[in-house]
Amino acid sequence: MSGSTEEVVRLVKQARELVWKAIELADAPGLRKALEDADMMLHWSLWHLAAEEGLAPEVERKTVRS
Amino acid sequence: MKSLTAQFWNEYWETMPRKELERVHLRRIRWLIKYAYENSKLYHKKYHEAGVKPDDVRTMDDFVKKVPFVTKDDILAAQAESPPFGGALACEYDDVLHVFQTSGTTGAPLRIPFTHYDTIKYGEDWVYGFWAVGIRPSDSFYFAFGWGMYVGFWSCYWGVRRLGAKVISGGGVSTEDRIRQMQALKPTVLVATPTYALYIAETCRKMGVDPRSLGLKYFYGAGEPGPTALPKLREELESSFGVKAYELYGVAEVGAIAPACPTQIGVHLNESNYHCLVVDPETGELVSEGERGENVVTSFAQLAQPVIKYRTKDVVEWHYSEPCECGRTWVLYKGSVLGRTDYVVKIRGINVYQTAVENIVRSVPGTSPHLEMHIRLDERGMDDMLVRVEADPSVPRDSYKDLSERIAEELRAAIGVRLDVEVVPPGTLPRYELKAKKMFDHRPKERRLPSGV
Ligand SMILES: [Zn+2]
Repeated sequence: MSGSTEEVVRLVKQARELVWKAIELADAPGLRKALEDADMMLHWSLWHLAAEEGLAPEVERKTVRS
Repeated sequence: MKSLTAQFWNEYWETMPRKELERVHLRRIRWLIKYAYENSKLYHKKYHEAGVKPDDVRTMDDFVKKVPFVTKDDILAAQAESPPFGGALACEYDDVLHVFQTSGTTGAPLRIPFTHYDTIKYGEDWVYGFWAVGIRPSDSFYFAFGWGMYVGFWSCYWGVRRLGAKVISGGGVSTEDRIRQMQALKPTVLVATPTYALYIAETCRKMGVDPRSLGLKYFYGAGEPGPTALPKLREELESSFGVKAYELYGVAEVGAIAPACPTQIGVHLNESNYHCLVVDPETGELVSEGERGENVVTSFAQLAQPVIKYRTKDVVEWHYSEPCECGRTWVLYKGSVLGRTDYVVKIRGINVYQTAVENIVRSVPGTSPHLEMHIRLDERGMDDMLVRVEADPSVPRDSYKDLSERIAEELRAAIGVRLDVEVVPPGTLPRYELKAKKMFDHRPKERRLPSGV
């Protein structure tokens, strides 16, 4: 993995943490769904770099919450 | 924009060295086995019966030797216990976003559920092939497809959305109306089953429309052996429409697993989403590189209804040690799918594959693309095959006998066995909008290859 790819991975992981925080605060179903979709696509971008930390964001979120 | 001139949709994955692919596969396989064991009753039971716990799978060798195969019958049985999905489901019912099923022409339909994320991954499988053959976001896709319960072209639609190209939906109208829509909207990519695409060309001509005037640039098909498996079909599609013709090899319940190789010699397993083993259908033992066997696939892309070491019954020839001419390191299935294990006929010790028969029949001048293969027993109780093929309209009826003899002779010369051939007039055999039914097995059940063996 090149240096710039590592930087992309670092930024995406940071972005996911921010999105998770926003999901916890989001009340409106529309907003919550939009943020969950954002998290899914961020997970997908990590998958594109073989840098994902689990099979799916849904599973990860459940693990985080349980 | 630099990314539009890129050769690959995702160079990092598509050119990943084999050793690195194996490392990532093993990591995903271990996650997947743990996930399926904990969430799917089907897998929990299967692994429990085999005496395998997720932690026992530490190496690829463990995966190959310890983890049991899963068959379509296993999934069907789990679904039947508690419909609609039963113990095959590994996610919450509410997390199932799309539901599809197989046609069920050979038994109960297999239900295929997906989560939202599954559909993203499934759809993107297509994009690797689109990109490799030169299709870009500026292209527009015409879907000659009725949007029913068949997942194939739904997943293509998800893929076109991932690519960011235009979608023109040709659902729910007649073939003539579809042709008129294409004339008006000028799509650049036609998505259909290959035989339906030929039917579109045939209908164009009846309407006095030159199929080339539609302005298409690409045909991209799936659902049945296509332009990679059948060179004559490719020639017909390409010359009829003036396009380049490609195919994707998909397995409805597994994924759009293998997008096109631009060289048209085969298709590549998308190794970002899938892992495969090719085995002897009778013994289940791995076959060597370059040999033919049954494709056994594991999907990292399906969490609603996991498929791990799944017996697809598709016969493929696999190559993986050297990168392909196109630059990909991904497994190459040369010639795409060569046949189905259910329909391989052993005649005097020779394995006869349906795509081989079709290729030979279609190479004889005077034949049309419409044919059927009937597997039956001869008077000695041995496997035998009757080939029925429609003559091209230019062939006079009194030449049908000569034509059938020529075809039988070509078959004998190429595969070493004599098959019965019957030439029938144009329009005799049925036309299909989706998958064409070409194989008919008239042998008693006990003479067919048991499923999943
Ligand atoms: Zn290739």
